[in-house]
Amino acid sequence: MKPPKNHAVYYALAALAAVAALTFLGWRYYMHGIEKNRLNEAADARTYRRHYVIIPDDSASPLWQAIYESAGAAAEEKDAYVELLGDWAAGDYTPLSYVDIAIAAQVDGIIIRPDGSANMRSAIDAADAAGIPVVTVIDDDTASSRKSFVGFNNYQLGSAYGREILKCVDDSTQRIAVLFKSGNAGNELVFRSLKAAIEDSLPEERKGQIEIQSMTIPARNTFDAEEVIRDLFKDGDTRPDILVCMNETDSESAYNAMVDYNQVGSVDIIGYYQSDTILDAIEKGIVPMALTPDTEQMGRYSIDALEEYHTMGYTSSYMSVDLGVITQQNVDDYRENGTEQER
Amino acid sequence: MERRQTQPGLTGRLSIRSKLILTFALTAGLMLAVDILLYGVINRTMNELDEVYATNVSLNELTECLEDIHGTILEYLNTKSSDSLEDYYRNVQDFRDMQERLNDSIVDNERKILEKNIRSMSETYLGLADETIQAKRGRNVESYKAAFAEESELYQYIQTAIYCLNSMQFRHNSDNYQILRDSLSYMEILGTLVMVVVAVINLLILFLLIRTITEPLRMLARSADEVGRGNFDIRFPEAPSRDEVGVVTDAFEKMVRSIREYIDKTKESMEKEQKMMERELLMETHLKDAQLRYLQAQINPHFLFNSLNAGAQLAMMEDAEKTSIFIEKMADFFRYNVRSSEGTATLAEELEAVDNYVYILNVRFSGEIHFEKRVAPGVEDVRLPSMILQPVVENAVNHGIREVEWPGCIWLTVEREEGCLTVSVRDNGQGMTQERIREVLEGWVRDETGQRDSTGIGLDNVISRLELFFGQKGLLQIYSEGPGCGTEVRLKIPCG
Repeated sequence: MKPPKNHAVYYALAALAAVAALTFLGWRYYMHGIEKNRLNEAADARTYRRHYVIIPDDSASPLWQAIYESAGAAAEEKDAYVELLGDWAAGDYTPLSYVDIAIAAQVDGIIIRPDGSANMRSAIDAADAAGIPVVTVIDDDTASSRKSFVGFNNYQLGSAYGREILKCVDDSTQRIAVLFKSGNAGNELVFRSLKAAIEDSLPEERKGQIEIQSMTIPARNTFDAEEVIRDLFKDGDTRPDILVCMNETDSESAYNAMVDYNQVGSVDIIGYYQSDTILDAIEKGIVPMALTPDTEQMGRYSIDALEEYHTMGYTSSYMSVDLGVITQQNVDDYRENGTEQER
Repeated sequence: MERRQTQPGLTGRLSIRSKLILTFALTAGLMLAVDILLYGVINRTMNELDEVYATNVSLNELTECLEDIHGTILEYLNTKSSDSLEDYYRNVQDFRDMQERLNDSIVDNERKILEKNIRSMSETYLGLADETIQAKRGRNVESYKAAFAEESELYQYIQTAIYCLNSMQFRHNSDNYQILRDSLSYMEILGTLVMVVVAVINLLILFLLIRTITEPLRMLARSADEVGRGNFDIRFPEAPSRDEVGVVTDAFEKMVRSIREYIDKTKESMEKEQKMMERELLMETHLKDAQLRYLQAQINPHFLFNSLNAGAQLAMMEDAEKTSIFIEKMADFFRYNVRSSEGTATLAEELEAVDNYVYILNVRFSGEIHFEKRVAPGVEDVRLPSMILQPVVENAVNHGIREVEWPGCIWLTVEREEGCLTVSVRDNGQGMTQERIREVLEGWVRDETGQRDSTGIGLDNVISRLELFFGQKGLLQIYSEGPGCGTEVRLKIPCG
């Protein structure tokens, strides 16, 4: 006769305790997950000393995203927070409005691409009056009271473009169109240096045969640029052999129009900035080249300027960033860089 | 029958009632605890669910308050009424209270930074609003118009910012709401799972606890079956518990043990009695034997033989032939008598001893005894214990015919029957009552009178020796039809 095992009761109780403990732990883990998700803003949020805003003319563009990214990284090192201020009202607000908003919000610094308008200038001045330093990027407004400009010297930019255009010029080239955005005071200088760079290098017999045309797209409406570019391709008489774009939106529009109007091979587009579309096009040989600013430098220098101003009370009024040329040969490098930046 | 005694465990010390109560309380308590836990958490989640959109509500209140401020400024600018001014100050106070709840630090979070912007913008806005009111009071028309325009623009910006924040919050809250909804459904599954696990554990506990009650009962029943089959040597199981079953098991064990002890005692005493009886019997035999040897030792037989032989020769020399024969027969008789102590004799020797004895008696009593014998041929060599027939004949003489008035006769016959000889010694003497016969056969009567005038061997001795020799009972029978009718003693001698 086998006596009953009283120990089994203890085993059962131990098993029960284990199950209860496991369930409790699982429960805690699960609830902790929920709590964390709910309170992450309070738990993980880091507090900063300064608050800067970047006011882009198009917050969705990769160029601005890249600048914002590098500025954010640079600011973090300096215990500052960068906010991309540009999508409050679904495009109803202009950068000008955002400058007003930034002033009202009493931020510690503004990074902006001025459009050359008087309103913008006065807004920059107002910010300065409110004690908020303004740094301009890509384009400059020297007449305003901005503290620093981070970008290219207009003359250098024009020359650089001119040099690249020359590489695309052949015997059949008759018309070169350069697209500018209206309102930028530097446009004229850029165009002049560009034209000079081309004409100085053309052989004697070709001089005067090539028409170099500057086209300023009026900034009346957001979608004007696209229409103007399509018009260029539509009309065979006005269609340029080389189309030079000075911003990333124009570059993509031009590329799309060229493909749509079946002008691949007959029109050379010189693009701006390393957007995926342009990089793909360069890789396939559809677009011969694109110029791109070093956005990493742009973001970092902007923050450096603002920080310098806050600590020293002054900063250098111009900081030059590098301009790169993307061709079929080096396109992979830029793609890798871009991927790295995204990482 | 033994039992190991060990210290009972926790469940062993409890009574069945306590065990049942404990089982119920444990399982019910477990279920209750799980229920409370589950309901507690579900309740908490429900409360959180209710509060998910609380931030949206407070943002809406902020917007309303801002609208009120803007409205009262407009009203004041239009009417300059003190009521609107009062409303304005009250609204500003309310707004400031609400504004206090907004984040004002620079934090790495989209919504928090927007809150900070709204808060700073609100500060600027309130400053502008104050400026507007002051300009209106000072009737500085240009100034308050400009300030109001600026204020209105900022008002729009703030509204937009709040709207933005509201939709961000809404998105975030909706995510949280979804998470909570998911967690509720997860809790449903988890709750069911936990319930199932707990139910299984409850069953296990019930099974184990009930087993501690039923198992000892089963073992007890098995032990009882064993005892019922007559096996008192069972090994009793260890009493696992001190409950009611444990008590019954103990009592049962004690009962079985005492029954066994009783049986052992009875057996022992019976054996003792048997032994005592045997000893008694043996002692009696020895006594008899000693008695006989004593009697035999009273006469020095060799001296007697020699003396009798000398007497016989003397009688022969004096030509007293009858005396000589008498003395010779006397010598033969005593010789046989002495030799009988050796054990067995033939029937012929026994018959000769009887002849001698009768001759001696007839000499003594002047031929009063008529003795006749008839012996079947071929039985002389049958062996039987010595000194058997002579005592029977002596008995017939002493108790049968000695005292009678008529001439006493004794008939001795030896007949062969199936597997045995029948020796009959019949007299025509006093006879015996049936009661007397029974007494004699059962050995109650001691031959006291014969001690003086006999060879010393009684009937009871004859019976005993016959029975011992042949290993049978009832070899000697006495028949008599009553007093005065004579007696017949019949011996059965088994042979071949």
